[in-house]
Order: sequence, then C-alpha cells, then structure tokens
Amino acid sequence: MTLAGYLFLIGFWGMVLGLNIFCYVKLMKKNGKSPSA
Amino acid sequence: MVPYLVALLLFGIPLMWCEWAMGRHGGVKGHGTTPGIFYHLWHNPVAKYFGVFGILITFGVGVYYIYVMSWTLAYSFFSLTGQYMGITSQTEMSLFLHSFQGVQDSVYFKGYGYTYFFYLISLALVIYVLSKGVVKGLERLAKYGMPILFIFAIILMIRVFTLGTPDPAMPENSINAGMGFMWNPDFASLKDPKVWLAAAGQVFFTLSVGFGAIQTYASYIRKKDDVALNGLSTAATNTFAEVILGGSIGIPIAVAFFGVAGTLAVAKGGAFNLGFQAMPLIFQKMPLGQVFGTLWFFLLFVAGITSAVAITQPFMAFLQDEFQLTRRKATAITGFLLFTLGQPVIFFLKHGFLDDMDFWLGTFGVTFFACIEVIVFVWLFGPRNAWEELTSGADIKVPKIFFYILTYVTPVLLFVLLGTWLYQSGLDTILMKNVSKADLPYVIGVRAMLLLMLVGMGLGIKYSFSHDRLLKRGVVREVRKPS
Repeated sequence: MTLAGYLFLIGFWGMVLGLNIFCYVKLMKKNGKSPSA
Repeated sequence: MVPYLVALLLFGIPLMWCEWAMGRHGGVKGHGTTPGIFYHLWHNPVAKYFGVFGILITFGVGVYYIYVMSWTLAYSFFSLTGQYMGITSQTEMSLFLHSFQGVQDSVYFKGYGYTYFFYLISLALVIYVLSKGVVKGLERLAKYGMPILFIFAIILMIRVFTLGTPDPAMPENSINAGMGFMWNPDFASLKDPKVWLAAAGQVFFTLSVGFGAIQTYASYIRKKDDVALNGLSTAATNTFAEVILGGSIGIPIAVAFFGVAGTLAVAKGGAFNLGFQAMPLIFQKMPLGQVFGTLWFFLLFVAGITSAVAITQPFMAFLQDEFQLTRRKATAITGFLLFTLGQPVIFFLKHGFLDDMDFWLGTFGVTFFACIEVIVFVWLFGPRNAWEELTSGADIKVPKIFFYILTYVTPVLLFVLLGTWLYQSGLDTILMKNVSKADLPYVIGVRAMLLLMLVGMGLGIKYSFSHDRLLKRGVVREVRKPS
C-alpha cells in the first residue's frame, strides 16, 4: 500500500466515521437522550 | 475508490435526500411508489410512465437478490457441517461454489439439488414475511442481529489485518497488497467511463438509491417528519458497514489468498462470487472458525431477508395502492412472479443470465433511474420546491451548497456519465459484441424478459391510472393501508 493509499484511506474513514458520529449525536439529541448514555 | 468517493458525495447523499423527500411527498398524497409520486410531482400524463423504472428495478433486483441471498443460508449450513474446511486454493474454492450453484459437477456437489433447496427456503421465507406483514418481527430480529453482525465484522477485520502473508512463498499476496488494491489511487483508470459507471452503481447499491425502494419506505412517514437527518444517517451507516467493514474483509482476504489477478478472475466469473470464495478462507484461519462462519453467514441471511422484503415492497405497494388489491392477493402475484422469473436466473447462471440482469438493473438501471428522478424532482417539480420539500421539518441544517449540487451538478454529471459510457462502450454492450456465441441466446433472453417486465408494468400503470380517474370522480373509494 502506498503513502497516497494510506492518506486516502485515513481521509475516507475519517469522513465516514465523522458523519456517523455526527448523525448519532443528532439522533440522540432529537430523541431526548444524552449521546453518552 | 476515488470515483466511489466522488459518486458518494455528488450522487449518493444528494439522491438519498431526494428519495426520502419524494417518498414523504408521495405518501402524503396516498402513493408509495414512483409512478404515483412522479404523477404528483410533475403534472403531466407521461410522468407516471417514467416511474415504471422504480418498480421494474426494485422488483427485477429482487428476483435475483433472493437467489444470491440463499447462498448465504447455504454457506451458513456448509460452515456448520464443515463442508468447505480444508479448501484453501482459489481453484478448489471456485469449484466448490460453482458446483453448489449447479454450474458444473464436482466431488462436492452434483446438479442443482442443493442450490434449489436453499433458494426455495429463502423465497418461501420472503413470501411469508410479505404475506403476514411480519416486518415488525423481522425488525426485532434485525435489531439484535445487526449489532452482532457489526461486532463480528470488527472481529473479522482485526483477524484480517493480523493475517499478513498467508503463503510466505508468495510475498506479493498479502493483506497489505489487498488494502493497496482497494485504496491506492489509480489515476489512470479515471479516464474509463466504465469505472465511473461501476463506482456510481456500487454507491447506488450500497445506499439503495436509484432503485425506487426508499420512496416506498419514506412514504409511510408524516408530512412534518425529518428526511434530511434520516437520509444522511442511512447513507453514513451503510457506507460504514459496506465500505469500511466490508471493504476491509472480503477483498483484502481474496488478494492475500488468490493474488490480484486471481481476485479479478473471481470477480469476472460472477458479480457476487467473491465473498463466497474469500470468506470461508478466513474462517479456516480463526479459532472457532466453524461457529463464526455459521453465524456470520446466517446473520448475512437475516440482513438479506430484510433487504429482499424492502426491494419487493414497492411492487407490493404498487399493487395495493394503485389496484386496491388485498395484501393476500398482492403477495400471491408477487410470489408467483418472483418464483417464475427466478427460474432462468438459477438454471442459466453459467450463461451469464444473472450478471447481465445485474448489469442492466443494478448498474445501468439505477444510474439511469437516478437521472430520471433527479430531473423530475428537481427540475420538473422545481428547484425551490424540491429544496423546500427536503428541508421542511429537517433536524439538521442542510448546507446550501447541496442546493446547487442537486440542481446542477448531480443531473449534469449523471447525464455526462451515461452519455460517455454510451459513446465509449455502451453500444458494444447493447449490441452484445463481447458475448460468446454460446451465451448469446441467454443474454438476449435477459433483455427480452426485462423488456416484457417493462411493458407489463407500463400497461399496469396505464390501467391503474385510468382507474385513478374513477377514484377522482368518486366512483370508487381509495383505501391505503400501511404495511
């Protein structure tokens, strides 16, 4: 795997995980629960 | 993966929002499928006919999806009985799968008995769920089954990453090479429209957009319910499951055991074969591999049933909404057609029947229909109306840039993609120039079958919407029950 491959993987995974966390927090807030609960 | 990322941002997420918004809009008007939804979005007599693809694609994919799904049930059984244990070469694993599929006889299987048996069980289960409306029970099963599947996937991913090089004599076949195959940007391939079409098709398949299924689900939500956060969450979760988890397991294993050329050969031999040839290998390299394999394939099967129900639901909803059929009658028709049209998929598999069907529906069809729906929703319904529909009741603030992406970038790129593909390789595909003489009658058969389905559904729309006129005059009353 090349350096460009690693960078691309980190960027893609970061974006997808970030989106998931964002949606999770928003959905929890919407449902009136703390995200940490 | 570069085209995949571009397609996800410029097609996948915007289309996901479009479909949620369209579904909610149609549901409020009493329509859960695209012919009815288009009819209300674009007040033109031909609008409803454009919606036919939203039923054809979901139903057509359902026809072969149930068969592919049955393989996961079979492999769960094979894991339990240890039937593939000891097979480590690509040739033998391929022989095992092909003989199970009835493509060729081997010491492992002969004839179509096994594959047909598991297909019938799978089809019967899907029909049962559709007929009884036991979606809630299935959802409960999925509620516990899916987190377990996620945990399994993470464990498998860790095992894959620690596998290194399975055969020290072939150091080029490793997990690192597999990850490189997936993630190293290949800028040379960006010039190939087939790669972009495949990436778009893959994004559409991962997110289930471009099918017409999401509209049916979204038609059951209320007018003031959010669609923006729901759509984004669906896209984010699916991408995490299928790209981050799925992409870190199947392809790296295949490359580590078969090499890049071998992996490409497996993928070329059948669009859905890779997972069934690669996954059994990793289970053999794990403690309690048989147990893991059994549960893994079984959970995939459970996930498969929920998807099969989701993609056959639009056809059911079409029969129930537009023809006022009871669930029982709609299920009988759906089940009969799924079974009948599924036969050539099983028995002509070796002649590329399933792959050609998958190309026309799962790759070309979804891109084509995505193009139609974005034009209808954004341009014919009106960009401002579409934006208002999408952001109404939203639990998140949708960045304004997506207004311009939806209005200009997504439709233009979809047109460019389809146009370039048609110009460069589409004609050869349409004219079947790369099809062998032996497979030609079967490939023609696929197209004839799809054309018949298209015409049949078009006539159904014509009939049901003349009936709709009767509804408008109050001759009959419309009753629509959510499933």
